[in-house]
Amino acid sequence: MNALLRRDIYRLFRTPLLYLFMLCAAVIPGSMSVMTGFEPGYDAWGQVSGLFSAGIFAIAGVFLAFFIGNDYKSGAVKNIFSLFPKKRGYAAAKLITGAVAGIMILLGYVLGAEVFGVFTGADFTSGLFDMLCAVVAKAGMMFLFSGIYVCVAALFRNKVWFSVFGILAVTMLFIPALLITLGTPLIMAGLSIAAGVIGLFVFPGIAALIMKRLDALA
Amino acid sequence: MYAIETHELTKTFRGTRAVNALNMHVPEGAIYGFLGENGSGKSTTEKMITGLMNPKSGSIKLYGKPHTDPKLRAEIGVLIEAPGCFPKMTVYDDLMMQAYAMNLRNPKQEVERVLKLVRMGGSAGRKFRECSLGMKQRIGLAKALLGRPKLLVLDEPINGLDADGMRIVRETLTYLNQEEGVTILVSSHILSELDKIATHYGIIKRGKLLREIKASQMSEESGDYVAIKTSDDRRAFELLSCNFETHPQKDGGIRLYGVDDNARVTSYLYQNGVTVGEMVNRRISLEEYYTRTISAKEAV
Repeated sequence: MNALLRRDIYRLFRTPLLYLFMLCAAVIPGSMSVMTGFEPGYDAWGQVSGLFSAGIFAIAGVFLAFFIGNDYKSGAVKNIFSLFPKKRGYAAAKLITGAVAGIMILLGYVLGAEVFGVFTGADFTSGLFDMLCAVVAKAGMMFLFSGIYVCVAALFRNKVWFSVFGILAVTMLFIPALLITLGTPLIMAGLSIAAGVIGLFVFPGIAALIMKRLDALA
Repeated sequence: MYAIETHELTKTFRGTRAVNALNMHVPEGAIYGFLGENGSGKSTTEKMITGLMNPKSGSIKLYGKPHTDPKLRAEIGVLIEAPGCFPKMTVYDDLMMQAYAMNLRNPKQEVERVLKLVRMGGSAGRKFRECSLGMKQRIGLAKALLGRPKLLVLDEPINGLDADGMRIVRETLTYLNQEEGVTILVSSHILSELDKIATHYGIIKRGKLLREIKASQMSEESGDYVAIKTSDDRRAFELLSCNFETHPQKDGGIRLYGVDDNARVTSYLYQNGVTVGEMVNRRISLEEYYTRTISAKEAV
Protein backbone atom coordinates (compact mmCIF):
# COMPACT_ATOMS: atom_id res chain seq x y z
CA MET A 1 0.00 0.00 0.00
CA ASN A 2 2.81 2.42 0.78
CA ALA A 3 4.16 2.28 -2.76
CA LEU A 4 0.72 2.87 -4.26
CA LEU A 5 0.03 5.69 -1.81
CA ARG A 6 3.30 7.32 -2.76
CA ARG A 7 2.34 7.05 -6.40
CA ASP A 8 -1.09 8.56 -5.84
CA ILE A 9 0.15 11.42 -3.69
CA TYR A 10 2.80 12.20 -6.34
CA ARG A 11 0.08 12.26 -8.96
CA LEU A 12 -2.30 14.28 -6.76
CA PHE A 13 0.04 17.23 -6.54
CA ARG A 14 1.37 17.02 -10.10
CA THR A 15 -1.87 17.30 -12.02
CA PRO A 16 -4.02 20.44 -12.20
CA LEU A 17 -7.24 18.65 -11.20
CA LEU A 18 -6.78 19.17 -7.45
CA TYR A 19 -6.00 22.87 -7.80
CA LEU A 20 -9.01 23.35 -10.04
CA PHE A 21 -11.30 21.79 -7.46
CA MET A 22 -9.70 23.82 -4.65
CA LEU A 23 -10.40 26.96 -6.67
CA CYS A 24 -14.02 25.91 -7.17
CA ALA A 25 -14.38 25.33 -3.45
CA ALA A 26 -12.76 28.67 -2.64
CA VAL A 27 -15.33 30.66 -4.60
CA ILE A 28 -18.36 28.94 -3.05
CA PRO A 29 -18.65 30.99 0.17
CA GLY A 30 -18.38 34.33 -1.60
CA SER A 31 -20.53 33.40 -4.59
CA MET A 32 -23.25 31.90 -2.41
CA SER A 33 -23.33 35.02 -0.29
CA VAL A 34 -23.59 37.18 -3.41
CA MET A 35 -26.33 34.99 -4.91
CA THR A 36 -28.41 34.99 -1.74
CA GLY A 37 -28.12 38.76 -1.49
CA PHE A 38 -25.13 39.87 0.45
CA GLU A 39 -26.24 41.03 3.85
CA PRO A 40 -24.28 42.71 6.61
CA GLY A 41 -23.33 40.21 9.21
CA TYR A 42 -21.64 37.71 6.86
CA ASP A 43 -19.79 35.53 9.32
CA ALA A 44 -16.52 34.49 7.72
CA TRP A 45 -15.57 31.80 10.25
CA GLY A 46 -19.14 30.63 10.48
CA GLN A 47 -19.05 29.65 6.79
CA VAL A 48 -16.97 26.61 7.73
CA SER A 49 -19.84 25.11 9.66
CA GLY A 50 -22.55 26.67 7.52
CA LEU A 51 -24.99 24.81 5.27
CA PHE A 52 -23.00 25.31 2.08
CA SER A 53 -19.93 23.72 3.62
CA ALA A 54 -21.64 20.32 3.34
CA GLY A 55 -21.19 20.69 -0.40
CA ILE A 56 -17.46 20.19 0.12
CA PHE A 57 -18.05 16.46 0.45
CA ALA A 58 -19.83 16.35 -2.88
CA ILE A 59 -16.99 18.29 -4.51
CA ALA A 60 -14.42 15.94 -2.99
CA GLY A 61 -16.47 12.99 -4.19
CA VAL A 62 -16.62 14.28 -7.74
CA PHE A 63 -12.88 14.83 -7.62
CA LEU A 64 -12.34 11.24 -6.50
CA ALA A 65 -14.62 9.97 -9.27
CA PHE A 66 -12.37 11.65 -11.82
CA PHE A 67 -9.18 10.67 -10.01
CA ILE A 68 -10.04 6.96 -9.93
CA GLY A 69 -11.92 6.94 -13.24
CA ASN A 70 -8.94 8.43 -15.07
CA ASP A 71 -6.80 5.59 -13.73
CA TYR A 72 -9.02 3.18 -15.66
CA LYS A 73 -9.77 5.44 -18.62
CA SER A 74 -6.11 6.19 -19.37
CA GLY A 75 -5.18 2.53 -18.99
CA ALA A 76 -2.76 3.36 -16.18
CA VAL A 77 -4.53 0.79 -14.03
CA LYS A 78 -2.95 -1.95 -16.18
CA ASN A 79 0.49 -0.88 -14.99
CA ILE A 80 -0.71 -1.12 -11.39
CA PHE A 81 -2.61 -4.38 -11.47
CA SER A 82 0.08 -6.14 -13.46
CA LEU A 83 2.18 -5.77 -10.30
CA PHE A 84 -0.49 -7.77 -8.49
CA PRO A 85 -0.91 -5.47 -5.54
CA LYS A 86 -3.48 -6.36 -2.91
CA LYS A 87 -6.75 -4.83 -4.05
CA ARG A 88 -7.32 -3.74 -0.48
CA GLY A 89 -4.04 -1.83 -0.59
CA TYR A 90 -5.03 -0.14 -3.85
CA ALA A 91 -8.37 0.88 -2.37
CA ALA A 92 -6.76 2.09 0.86
CA ALA A 93 -4.28 4.22 -1.09
CA LYS A 94 -7.12 5.78 -3.06
CA LEU A 95 -9.11 6.35 0.14
CA ILE A 96 -6.26 8.17 1.85
CA THR A 97 -5.44 10.18 -1.27
CA GLY A 98 -9.11 11.08 -1.65
CA ALA A 99 -9.27 12.18 1.97
CA VAL A 100 -6.12 14.28 1.56
CA ALA A 101 -7.62 15.84 -1.55
CA GLY A 102 -10.87 16.45 0.33
CA ILE A 103 -9.00 18.17 3.15
CA MET A 104 -7.12 20.30 0.61
CA ILE A 105 -10.45 21.24 -0.99
CA LEU A 106 -11.84 22.03 2.46
CA LEU A 107 -8.86 24.27 3.15
CA GLY A 108 -9.51 25.96 -0.18
CA TYR A 109 -13.07 26.57 0.93
CA VAL A 110 -11.91 27.97 4.29
CA LEU A 111 -9.38 30.22 2.62
CA GLY A 112 -12.00 31.43 0.17
CA ALA A 113 -14.41 32.20 3.00
CA GLU A 114 -11.80 34.11 4.97
CA VAL A 115 -10.46 36.05 2.02
CA PHE A 116 -13.97 37.04 0.99
CA GLY A 117 -14.63 38.06 4.56
CA VAL A 118 -11.54 40.24 4.73
CA PHE A 119 -12.23 41.99 1.44
CA THR A 120 -15.85 42.67 2.26
CA GLY A 121 -15.20 43.77 5.82
CA ALA A 122 -17.27 40.89 7.16
CA ASP A 123 -17.69 39.89 10.74
CA PHE A 124 -15.52 37.22 12.31
CA THR A 125 -18.02 36.58 15.07
CA SER A 126 -17.96 32.80 15.45
CA GLY A 127 -15.35 31.54 17.83
CA LEU A 128 -12.09 30.50 16.27
CA PHE A 129 -12.18 27.34 18.37
CA ASP A 130 -15.60 26.38 16.98
CA MET A 131 -14.35 26.98 13.48
CA LEU A 132 -11.33 24.78 14.05
CA CYS A 133 -13.56 22.03 15.50
CA ALA A 134 -15.68 22.20 12.39
CA VAL A 135 -12.59 21.88 10.19
CA VAL A 136 -11.32 18.89 12.19
CA ALA A 137 -14.77 17.25 12.12
CA LYS A 138 -15.03 17.63 8.39
CA ALA A 139 -11.49 16.36 7.93
CA GLY A 140 -12.35 13.24 9.95
CA MET A 141 -15.55 12.71 7.98
CA MET A 142 -13.55 13.01 4.76
CA PHE A 143 -11.96 9.63 5.50
CA LEU A 144 -15.37 8.04 5.98
CA PHE A 145 -16.84 9.53 2.86
CA SER A 146 -13.71 8.93 0.81
CA GLY A 147 -14.14 5.23 1.62
CA ILE A 148 -17.72 5.25 0.38
CA TYR A 149 -16.74 7.13 -2.76
CA VAL A 150 -13.91 4.68 -3.51
CA CYS A 151 -16.43 1.81 -3.41
CA VAL A 152 -18.72 3.61 -5.84
CA ALA A 153 -15.84 4.51 -8.18
CA ALA A 154 -14.51 0.92 -8.06
CA LEU A 155 -17.91 -0.29 -9.19
CA PHE A 156 -18.07 1.97 -12.24
CA ARG A 157 -14.33 1.98 -13.09
CA ASN A 158 -13.78 3.93 -16.31
CA LYS A 159 -17.39 5.16 -16.56
CA VAL A 160 -16.50 8.41 -14.84
CA TRP A 161 -19.87 10.12 -15.17
CA PHE A 162 -21.67 7.09 -13.69
CA SER A 163 -19.29 7.39 -10.75
CA VAL A 164 -20.01 11.10 -10.46
CA PHE A 165 -23.78 10.60 -10.35
CA GLY A 166 -23.45 7.64 -8.04
CA ILE A 167 -21.30 9.61 -5.65
CA LEU A 168 -23.65 12.59 -5.69
CA ALA A 169 -26.59 10.27 -4.99
CA VAL A 170 -24.76 8.67 -2.08
CA THR A 171 -23.84 12.09 -0.71
CA MET A 172 -27.49 13.13 -0.78
CA LEU A 173 -28.36 10.07 1.30
CA PHE A 174 -25.87 11.11 3.94
CA ILE A 175 -26.91 14.77 4.17
CA PRO A 176 -28.31 14.34 7.71
CA ALA A 177 -24.89 13.09 8.86
CA LEU A 178 -23.23 16.06 7.17
CA LEU A 179 -25.57 18.49 8.84
CA ILE A 180 -24.60 17.11 12.22
CA THR A 181 -21.20 18.67 11.76
CA LEU A 182 -22.73 22.13 11.57
CA GLY A 183 -21.95 24.28 14.62
CA THR A 184 -19.73 21.49 15.83
CA PRO A 185 -18.59 21.29 19.40
CA LEU A 186 -15.44 19.42 20.35
CA ILE A 187 -17.19 16.11 20.98
CA MET A 188 -18.61 16.04 17.46
CA ALA A 189 -15.12 16.62 16.09
CA GLY A 190 -13.93 13.59 18.05
CA LEU A 191 -16.81 11.42 16.82
CA SER A 192 -16.17 12.46 13.25
CA ILE A 193 -12.53 11.48 13.51
CA ALA A 194 -13.57 8.13 14.95
CA ALA A 195 -15.97 7.63 12.03
CA GLY A 196 -13.14 8.45 9.64
CA VAL A 197 -10.85 5.90 11.25
CA ILE A 198 -13.54 3.21 11.03
CA GLY A 199 -14.07 4.08 7.38
CA LEU A 200 -10.33 3.78 6.76
CA PHE A 201 -10.41 0.15 7.88
CA VAL A 202 -13.81 -0.94 6.58
CA PHE A 203 -14.16 0.50 3.11
CA PRO A 204 -10.93 -0.70 1.50
CA GLY A 205 -12.14 -4.23 2.20
CA ILE A 206 -15.49 -3.57 0.57
CA ALA A 207 -13.85 -1.92 -2.44
CA ALA A 208 -11.43 -4.86 -2.72
CA LEU A 209 -14.38 -7.29 -2.85
CA ILE A 210 -15.90 -5.27 -5.69
CA MET A 211 -12.61 -5.16 -7.62
CA LYS A 212 -11.95 -8.88 -7.19
CA ARG A 213 -15.18 -9.70 -8.96
CA LEU A 214 -14.41 -7.46 -11.91
CA ASP A 215 -11.51 -7.78 -14.36
CA ALA A 216 -9.19 -4.79 -14.37
CA LEU A 217 -9.72 -4.62 -18.11
CA ALA A 218 -12.68 -5.72 -20.16
CA MET B 1 12.77 -24.18 -17.24
CA TYR B 2 9.94 -22.33 -18.90
CA ALA B 3 9.54 -18.64 -18.23
CA ILE B 4 5.84 -18.98 -19.05
CA GLU B 5 3.87 -22.21 -19.02
CA THR B 6 0.11 -22.45 -19.38
CA HIS B 7 -1.99 -25.55 -18.96
CA GLU B 8 -5.49 -25.80 -20.45
CA LEU B 9 -5.87 -22.05 -20.12
CA THR B 10 -9.39 -20.95 -20.99
CA LYS B 11 -11.28 -17.67 -21.04
CA THR B 12 -14.85 -17.10 -22.17
CA PHE B 13 -16.78 -13.94 -22.89
CA ARG B 14 -20.56 -14.34 -22.90
CA GLY B 15 -20.31 -18.01 -23.80
CA THR B 16 -17.68 -17.56 -26.52
CA ARG B 17 -14.29 -19.14 -25.88
CA ALA B 18 -11.75 -16.43 -26.59
CA VAL B 19 -8.96 -18.70 -25.36
CA ASN B 20 -9.54 -22.43 -25.54
CA ALA B 21 -7.45 -24.89 -23.51
CA LEU B 22 -4.21 -23.16 -24.40
CA ASN B 23 -0.96 -24.99 -23.61
CA MET B 24 1.87 -22.53 -24.15
CA HIS B 25 5.57 -22.95 -23.35
CA VAL B 26 7.91 -19.99 -23.48
CA PRO B 27 11.48 -21.11 -22.76
CA GLU B 28 13.67 -19.01 -20.52
CA GLY B 29 15.88 -16.70 -22.55
CA ALA B 30 13.71 -16.87 -25.68
CA ILE B 31 12.16 -14.19 -27.80
CA TYR B 32 8.79 -15.81 -28.40
CA GLY B 33 6.81 -14.42 -31.30
CA PHE B 34 3.10 -14.86 -30.64
CA LEU B 35 1.26 -14.83 -33.97
CA GLY B 36 -2.40 -14.84 -34.83
CA GLU B 37 -5.16 -13.01 -36.67
CA ASN B 38 -7.15 -10.19 -35.12
CA GLY B 39 -9.42 -11.64 -32.47
CA SER B 40 -7.54 -14.92 -32.24
CA GLY B 41 -6.92 -14.56 -28.49
CA LYS B 42 -3.38 -13.17 -28.32
CA SER B 43 -4.19 -10.11 -26.22
CA THR B 44 -6.56 -12.06 -23.98
CA THR B 45 -3.84 -14.64 -23.33
CA GLU B 46 -1.30 -11.95 -22.51
CA LYS B 47 -3.75 -10.19 -20.20
CA MET B 48 -4.30 -13.40 -18.28
CA ILE B 49 -0.58 -14.08 -18.03
CA THR B 50 -0.01 -10.59 -16.61
CA GLY B 51 -2.91 -10.82 -14.17
CA LEU B 52 -5.14 -8.26 -15.83
CA MET B 53 -7.83 -10.85 -16.47
CA ASN B 54 -8.92 -13.89 -14.53
CA PRO B 55 -8.95 -17.16 -16.48
CA LYS B 56 -12.11 -19.23 -16.48
CA SER B 57 -10.03 -22.36 -16.00
CA GLY B 58 -6.51 -23.66 -16.41
CA SER B 59 -3.25 -22.59 -14.87
CA ILE B 60 -0.40 -20.21 -15.57
CA LYS B 61 3.11 -20.65 -14.20
CA LEU B 62 5.96 -18.20 -14.43
CA TYR B 63 9.38 -19.70 -13.75
CA GLY B 64 7.64 -22.66 -12.22
CA LYS B 65 5.63 -20.61 -9.73
CA PRO B 66 1.96 -19.53 -9.82
CA HIS B 67 1.61 -16.34 -11.83
CA THR B 68 -0.09 -14.56 -8.93
CA ASP B 69 3.05 -14.59 -6.76
CA PRO B 70 3.55 -10.86 -5.91
CA LYS B 71 7.35 -11.18 -5.66
CA LEU B 72 7.45 -12.61 -9.14
CA ARG B 73 5.26 -9.87 -10.56
CA ALA B 74 7.92 -7.28 -9.80
CA GLU B 75 10.22 -9.02 -12.29
CA ILE B 76 7.83 -8.76 -15.20
CA GLY B 77 7.53 -5.81 -17.53
CA VAL B 78 4.23 -5.35 -19.32
CA LEU B 79 3.08 -3.39 -22.36
CA ILE B 80 -0.48 -4.37 -23.28
CA GLU B 81 -2.26 -2.31 -25.93
CA ALA B 82 -1.74 1.39 -25.13
CA PRO B 83 1.01 2.52 -22.73
CA GLY B 84 -1.49 3.62 -20.08
CA CYS B 85 -0.25 7.14 -19.43
CA PHE B 86 -2.12 10.24 -18.28
CA PRO B 87 -2.46 12.64 -21.22
CA LYS B 88 -1.70 15.82 -19.27
CA MET B 89 1.25 14.49 -17.32
CA THR B 90 4.80 14.76 -18.56
CA VAL B 91 6.62 11.63 -19.67
CA TYR B 92 9.00 11.97 -16.74
CA ASP B 93 6.21 12.31 -14.15
CA ASP B 94 4.36 9.33 -15.59
CA LEU B 95 7.41 7.12 -15.39
CA MET B 96 8.19 8.39 -11.88
CA MET B 97 4.68 7.39 -10.78
CA GLN B 98 5.24 3.88 -12.06
CA ALA B 99 8.65 3.76 -10.39
CA TYR B 100 7.05 4.72 -7.07
CA ALA B 101 4.30 2.12 -7.52
CA MET B 102 6.99 -0.52 -8.05
CA ASN B 103 8.81 0.67 -4.91
CA LEU B 104 12.09 1.05 -6.78
CA ARG B 105 15.10 2.14 -4.75
CA ASN B 106 16.38 4.90 -7.01
CA PRO B 107 13.37 5.95 -9.03
CA LYS B 108 14.99 8.98 -10.67
CA GLN B 109 18.01 7.05 -11.86
CA GLU B 110 15.85 4.21 -13.09
CA VAL B 111 13.59 6.55 -15.06
CA GLU B 112 16.60 8.19 -16.67
CA ARG B 113 18.05 4.76 -17.53
CA VAL B 114 14.95 3.50 -19.33
CA LEU B 115 14.42 6.77 -21.18
CA LYS B 116 17.97 6.49 -22.47
CA LEU B 117 17.41 2.87 -23.46
CA VAL B 118 14.47 3.74 -25.71
CA ARG B 119 16.19 6.97 -26.84
CA MET B 120 13.59 9.29 -25.37
CA GLY B 121 15.86 11.17 -22.95
CA GLY B 122 15.31 14.49 -24.69
CA SER B 123 11.52 14.23 -24.50
CA ALA B 124 11.15 13.67 -20.76
CA GLY B 125 9.54 17.05 -20.18
CA ARG B 126 6.97 16.68 -22.91
CA LYS B 127 3.33 16.01 -22.06
CA PHE B 128 2.15 12.59 -23.10
CA ARG B 129 -0.64 13.92 -25.30
CA GLU B 130 1.88 15.96 -27.28
CA CYS B 131 3.86 12.84 -28.24
CA SER B 132 3.51 11.07 -31.56
CA LEU B 133 2.12 7.54 -31.72
CA GLY B 134 5.58 6.11 -32.14
CA MET B 135 6.90 8.06 -29.14
CA LYS B 136 3.96 6.84 -27.05
CA GLN B 137 4.79 3.24 -27.85
CA ARG B 138 8.42 3.81 -26.85
CA ILE B 139 7.27 5.40 -23.60
CA GLY B 140 5.18 2.30 -22.96
CA LEU B 141 8.22 0.15 -23.58
CA ALA B 142 10.26 2.34 -21.21
CA LYS B 143 7.62 1.81 -18.55
CA ALA B 144 7.80 -1.93 -19.06
CA LEU B 145 11.58 -1.80 -18.64
CA LEU B 146 11.50 -0.14 -15.21
CA GLY B 147 13.00 -2.29 -12.51
CA ARG B 148 15.11 -4.42 -14.90
CA PRO B 149 12.50 -7.15 -15.46
CA LYS B 150 13.61 -10.64 -16.45
CA LEU B 151 10.44 -11.23 -18.45
CA LEU B 152 8.76 -8.83 -20.86
CA VAL B 153 5.21 -9.33 -22.14
CA LEU B 154 4.58 -7.03 -25.09
CA ASP B 155 1.38 -6.76 -27.10
CA GLU B 156 1.92 -5.11 -30.49
CA PRO B 157 4.86 -2.95 -29.33
CA ILE B 158 5.79 -1.75 -32.82
CA ASN B 159 2.31 -0.69 -33.93
CA GLY B 160 2.40 2.79 -35.38
CA LEU B 161 6.18 3.03 -35.42
CA ASP B 162 8.07 4.29 -38.43
CA ALA B 163 11.06 2.37 -39.79
CA ASP B 164 13.44 4.16 -37.44
CA GLY B 165 11.22 3.52 -34.45
CA MET B 166 10.94 -0.17 -35.32
CA ARG B 167 14.69 -0.39 -35.60
CA ILE B 168 15.14 1.18 -32.15
CA VAL B 169 12.67 -1.25 -30.58
CA ARG B 170 14.19 -4.20 -32.38
CA GLU B 171 17.70 -3.25 -31.27
CA THR B 172 16.53 -2.66 -27.71
CA LEU B 173 14.81 -6.04 -27.49
CA THR B 174 17.76 -7.82 -29.05
CA TYR B 175 20.14 -6.12 -26.63
CA LEU B 176 17.97 -7.01 -23.62
CA ASN B 177 17.69 -10.63 -24.73
CA GLN B 178 21.29 -11.23 -25.69
CA GLU B 179 23.14 -9.07 -23.16
CA GLU B 180 20.83 -9.24 -20.15
CA GLY B 181 19.11 -12.59 -20.76
CA VAL B 182 15.60 -11.12 -20.70
CA THR B 183 12.85 -13.46 -21.91
CA ILE B 184 10.41 -11.73 -24.22
CA LEU B 185 6.88 -12.70 -25.23
CA VAL B 186 5.89 -10.42 -28.10
CA SER B 187 2.87 -10.37 -30.37
CA SER B 188 2.84 -8.42 -33.59
CA HIS B 189 1.18 -8.29 -36.99
CA ILE B 190 4.39 -7.09 -38.58
CA LEU B 191 5.83 -10.53 -39.28
CA SER B 192 8.88 -9.21 -41.10
CA GLU B 193 10.09 -7.56 -37.89
CA LEU B 194 9.43 -10.62 -35.75
CA ASP B 195 11.24 -12.72 -38.32
CA LYS B 196 14.40 -10.74 -37.57
CA ILE B 197 14.49 -11.33 -33.83
CA ALA B 198 12.29 -14.21 -32.65
CA THR B 199 13.82 -17.49 -31.56
CA HIS B 200 10.51 -19.27 -31.03
CA TYR B 201 7.00 -18.91 -32.39
CA GLY B 202 3.52 -19.76 -31.22
CA ILE B 203 0.66 -19.57 -33.68
CA ILE B 204 -2.86 -19.15 -32.34
CA LYS B 205 -6.16 -19.36 -34.19
CA ARG B 206 -9.62 -18.90 -32.67
CA GLY B 207 -8.23 -19.28 -29.18
CA LYS B 208 -6.36 -22.53 -29.83
CA LEU B 209 -2.60 -22.84 -30.16
CA LEU B 210 -1.96 -24.47 -33.53
CA ARG B 211 1.81 -24.76 -33.39
CA GLU B 212 4.80 -23.99 -31.24
CA ILE B 213 8.14 -24.13 -32.98
CA LYS B 214 11.70 -22.92 -32.78
CA ALA B 215 12.79 -20.53 -35.50
CA SER B 216 15.56 -22.93 -36.51
CA GLN B 217 13.11 -25.84 -36.75
CA MET B 218 10.81 -23.78 -38.91
CA SER B 219 13.41 -23.65 -41.67
CA GLU B 220 14.06 -27.40 -41.41
CA GLU B 221 10.37 -28.25 -41.35
CA SER B 222 9.41 -26.06 -44.25
CA GLY B 223 12.66 -26.35 -46.11
CA ASP B 224 14.95 -23.78 -47.55
CA TYR B 225 14.55 -23.68 -51.33
CA VAL B 226 16.32 -22.63 -54.49
CA ALA B 227 14.66 -20.13 -56.83
CA ILE B 228 15.80 -20.47 -60.43
CA LYS B 229 15.00 -18.71 -63.69
CA THR B 230 15.97 -20.43 -66.94
CA SER B 231 15.82 -20.00 -70.67
CA ASP B 232 12.98 -22.52 -70.82
CA ASP B 233 11.13 -22.82 -67.52
CA ARG B 234 8.61 -25.33 -68.86
CA ARG B 235 11.31 -27.72 -70.04
CA ALA B 236 13.27 -27.17 -66.79
CA PHE B 237 10.16 -28.04 -64.77
CA GLU B 238 9.70 -31.29 -66.67
CA LEU B 239 13.34 -32.24 -66.16
CA LEU B 240 13.62 -31.36 -62.50
CA SER B 241 10.25 -32.56 -61.18
CA CYS B 242 11.45 -36.18 -61.43
CA ASN B 243 14.13 -35.61 -58.80
CA PHE B 244 13.03 -32.63 -56.68
CA GLU B 245 9.92 -31.10 -55.19
CA THR B 246 9.27 -28.47 -57.84
CA HIS B 247 6.82 -25.55 -57.92
CA PRO B 248 6.41 -23.13 -60.81
CA GLN B 249 6.12 -19.48 -59.77
CA LYS B 250 3.48 -17.07 -61.03
CA ASP B 251 6.03 -14.42 -61.89
CA GLY B 252 8.20 -16.90 -63.81
CA GLY B 253 10.89 -19.23 -62.60
CA ILE B 254 10.76 -22.37 -60.52
CA ARG B 255 11.11 -23.13 -56.80
CA LEU B 256 13.07 -26.27 -55.91
CA TYR B 257 13.15 -28.03 -52.53
CA GLY B 258 15.65 -30.62 -51.35
CA VAL B 259 18.58 -29.32 -53.37
CA ASP B 260 21.96 -29.95 -51.77
CA ASP B 261 24.20 -29.22 -54.76
CA ASN B 262 23.30 -26.22 -56.95
CA ALA B 263 26.12 -26.94 -59.40
CA ARG B 264 24.71 -30.38 -60.24
CA VAL B 265 21.32 -28.87 -61.03
CA THR B 266 22.87 -26.26 -63.31
CA SER B 267 24.99 -28.87 -65.06
CA TYR B 268 22.06 -31.24 -65.54
CA LEU B 269 19.89 -28.54 -67.10
CA TYR B 270 22.73 -27.37 -69.38
CA GLN B 271 23.29 -30.91 -70.64
CA ASN B 272 19.58 -31.00 -71.58
CA GLY B 273 19.65 -27.70 -73.42
CA VAL B 274 18.37 -25.40 -70.68
CA THR B 275 20.47 -22.46 -69.53
CA VAL B 276 20.11 -21.18 -65.97
CA GLY B 277 19.84 -17.39 -65.86
CA GLU B 278 19.40 -16.92 -62.13
CA MET B 279 19.80 -19.23 -59.13
CA VAL B 280 19.27 -18.01 -55.57
CA ASN B 281 19.07 -19.92 -52.27
CA ARG B 282 16.09 -18.66 -50.23
CA ARG B 283 14.72 -19.28 -46.78
CA ILE B 284 10.99 -19.65 -46.28
CA SER B 285 9.65 -16.46 -44.77
CA LEU B 286 7.73 -16.33 -41.52
CA GLU B 287 4.75 -15.01 -43.42
CA GLU B 288 4.69 -18.03 -45.69
CA TYR B 289 5.03 -20.44 -42.79
CA TYR B 290 2.35 -18.62 -40.81
CA THR B 291 -0.07 -18.59 -43.75
CA ARG B 292 0.44 -22.31 -44.32
CA THR B 293 -0.07 -23.13 -40.65
CA ILE B 294 -3.18 -20.98 -40.26
CA SER B 295 -4.84 -22.70 -43.19
CA ALA B 296 -4.27 -26.11 -41.58
CA LYS B 297 -6.47 -27.40 -38.77
CA GLU B 298 -4.04 -29.02 -36.35
CA ALA B 299 -3.86 -28.09 -32.69
CA VAL B 300 -1.20 -28.56 -30.04
